[in-house]
Amino acid sequence: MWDANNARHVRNSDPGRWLLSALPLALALCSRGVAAEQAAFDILGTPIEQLMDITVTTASRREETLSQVPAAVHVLTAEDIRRSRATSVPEVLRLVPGVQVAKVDNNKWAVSIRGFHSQIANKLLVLIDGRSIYDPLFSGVFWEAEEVAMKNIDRIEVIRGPGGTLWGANAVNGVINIITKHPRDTQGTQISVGAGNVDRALVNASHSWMPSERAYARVYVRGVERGDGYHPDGDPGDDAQAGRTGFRVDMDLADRSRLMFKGDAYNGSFGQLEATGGSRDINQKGQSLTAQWRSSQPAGTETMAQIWYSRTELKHFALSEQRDTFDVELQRTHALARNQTLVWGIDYRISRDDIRDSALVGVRPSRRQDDLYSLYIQDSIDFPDRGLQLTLGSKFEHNDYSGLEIQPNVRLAWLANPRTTFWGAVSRAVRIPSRLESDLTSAFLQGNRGFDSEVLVAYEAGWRKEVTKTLHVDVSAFYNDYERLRSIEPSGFGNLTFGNEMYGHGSGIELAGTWQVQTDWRLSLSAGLLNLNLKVEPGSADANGAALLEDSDPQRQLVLRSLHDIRPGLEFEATARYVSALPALNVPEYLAFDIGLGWRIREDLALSIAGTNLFDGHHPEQGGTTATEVRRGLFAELQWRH
Amino acid sequence: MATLDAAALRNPSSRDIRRRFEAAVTSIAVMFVCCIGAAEAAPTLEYQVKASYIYNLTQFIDWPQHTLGEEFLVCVYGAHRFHDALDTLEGNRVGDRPLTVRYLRDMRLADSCQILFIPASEAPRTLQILRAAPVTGLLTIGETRDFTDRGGIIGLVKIDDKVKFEINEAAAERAGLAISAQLLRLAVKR
Repeated sequence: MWDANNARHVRNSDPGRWLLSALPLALALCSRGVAAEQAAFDILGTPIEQLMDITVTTASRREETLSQVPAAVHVLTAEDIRRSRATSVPEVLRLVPGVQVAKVDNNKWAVSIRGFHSQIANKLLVLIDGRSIYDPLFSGVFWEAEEVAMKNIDRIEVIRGPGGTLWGANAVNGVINIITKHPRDTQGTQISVGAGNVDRALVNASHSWMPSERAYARVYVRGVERGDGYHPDGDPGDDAQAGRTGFRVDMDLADRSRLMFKGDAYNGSFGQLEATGGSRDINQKGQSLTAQWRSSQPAGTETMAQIWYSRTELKHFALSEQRDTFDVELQRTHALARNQTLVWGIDYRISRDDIRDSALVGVRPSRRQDDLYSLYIQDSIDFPDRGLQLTLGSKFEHNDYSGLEIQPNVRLAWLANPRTTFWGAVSRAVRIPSRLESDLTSAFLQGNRGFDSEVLVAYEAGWRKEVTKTLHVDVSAFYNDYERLRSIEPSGFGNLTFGNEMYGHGSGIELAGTWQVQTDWRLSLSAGLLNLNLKVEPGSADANGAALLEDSDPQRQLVLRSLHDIRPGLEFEATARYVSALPALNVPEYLAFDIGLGWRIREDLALSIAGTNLFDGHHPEQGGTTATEVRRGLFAELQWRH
Repeated sequence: MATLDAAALRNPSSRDIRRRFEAAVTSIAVMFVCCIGAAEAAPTLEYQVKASYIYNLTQFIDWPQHTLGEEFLVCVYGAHRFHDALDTLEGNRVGDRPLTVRYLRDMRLADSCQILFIPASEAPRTLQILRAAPVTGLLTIGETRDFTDRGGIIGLVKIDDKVKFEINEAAAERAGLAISAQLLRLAVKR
């Protein structure tokens, strides 16, 4: 094993060779860049009819680095997503500082923010167009089930840190908000077909049209087949087939209010390596419907009303779950005086499940309905002469597991000058108990009805700076104080159960920087440092668990990216990613190189090529008995639009 | 921390990773050095086009006489991406008034503006900015999709990589602005 490993690395890691191959590339990029001249454009003399016809595709810089939002927000734009060449949402999230993404096997991911990294990471809130997709069974997200059509994503907003006040339960360490494109932006027919060795095949077809003068509609269908990951004992059987179809209709109503109606259905089979050898398939199926209405009144009031319903079905050999969720939300925004904005909202959710046991595990009761209702209110006050913006708010939420939860926050942003923003925040957020923590029954581990919410008080600060017109920096730091974290405790008769006996703190720094070196060349950097320090209360038996959790997160991460527009219609990306070791999971540190190429062959035809983990045959990113290793990947996709 | 480093060093691949990392950093450094100094901030075509729109729009819209001062003021509030594209408009005449561009830090200074541009960076506060802006005689221009729906008058929106515009006629009427029929016809949404 050691020899094989070593040989592989000697073969792939000759630094001289890498440097030699990179140098001509670097020089080529430079000469291209210096020679690039912006075509002269006549600002004063171009008539409006011509303006409407000018194509303005550009390597647009991040807008959000300039915004004054008093939180650690990072936005992945449609362009970021396209140029990531990724075929799944978790793969794009690798580009966001402070987000930990690891492939568990070739169809499953572990995604976390600011620590507690695991495939069943439970401190995130993930939304698609306002609909929550985390499963209350374990308070986590089945990323593989949500096979989102990447080309239909408008942007992904990632908020690191507690978003409890406006977003609600589970938004402890972060919120990931996936927003799809308005059908007006995807008019026409788009078909893409891709093939590769890691992601074997991908088909995506979408058609958008205008059923009436004020309505826009889109239908889409997507199918993916993912191949096997790497395992020393041969193909591990972690391949997957998944399909998804859906629609979205947007209507402009007479009074300038807007109505959005969308729905989708998915079905997938996801292979998983077994500890005992062989593999088994996990089945995921689901449907959802969302209706959203927004209206603005001239008096400075905005109203948003939303209803969504979803059904998810999980068929796992250990447990089968069917869940129906119904949610209704109303939000009002008032621009009060000249300098105040008040937001308040109410939310009511019913979640009903039906869980089938296996010989291994079960839950009691097997059916359960949980109600969740909440009220939130938040006021932002501007002090323009001092450049200050103060935000105060709280969420009051009631759930059937831990009762009433209060999640307040206070935030201050200071616009020191038009190019510099400082911000700070103190907030409290809770992660409410999951169904399993409360109701699990198994031979060795039992649920605990008395299991309480995990509590976080977070102290955050950040700094955003436009250093020069071409260099932007966004830094944030946090200190998270956790209480009542989940621990595993003995409950007599040789049995174990869940307790709240762990506590501690997490701290870290995240950095995002972009440098527009030339109009056609951009470099971006994202880096994160993270440290968890956990302890157990006296008398707890889970000191070992605390030590393992501390060592399950990558403490250092770095992503360097070069995005280059070689000529109109031809773009190139090079990425280097470093992730430090996960000692508790026996995962060594790794460095991966990816490249991407986009070529618009004709107005209606584009080719996209992605090479991932180029200088490495395979490496593990996550540990555990079901984990497999990530292979070197090549993927090509042809996109046609009409 | 100490346990982590020890674990990392025990791993046979660790030194190779370091070497590769150093090589990568070196080659990136080479790219930096050869290109530094060549970098120059120029407004992107998108913002040149948007600046051109702003100038063009003044030719299709009539402001109420009593709201006009000696200069025609184009104001920008917040973090924008024009660089110097708007400055090209300075000194040109709108009617018989010279056009002047002002970058505002404080919305209270918006009272004398004829045009107020609200960049995408200010989107989270659009409602409040619109609320703080004077109603009469001010043409508000934004660049987000929902700008006109939220009470803004003209939205410069990107559709299919082209900049088009939307008009909220009711809001224009409230502001006392007379928009030519030709401009209304060209709008992608009214």
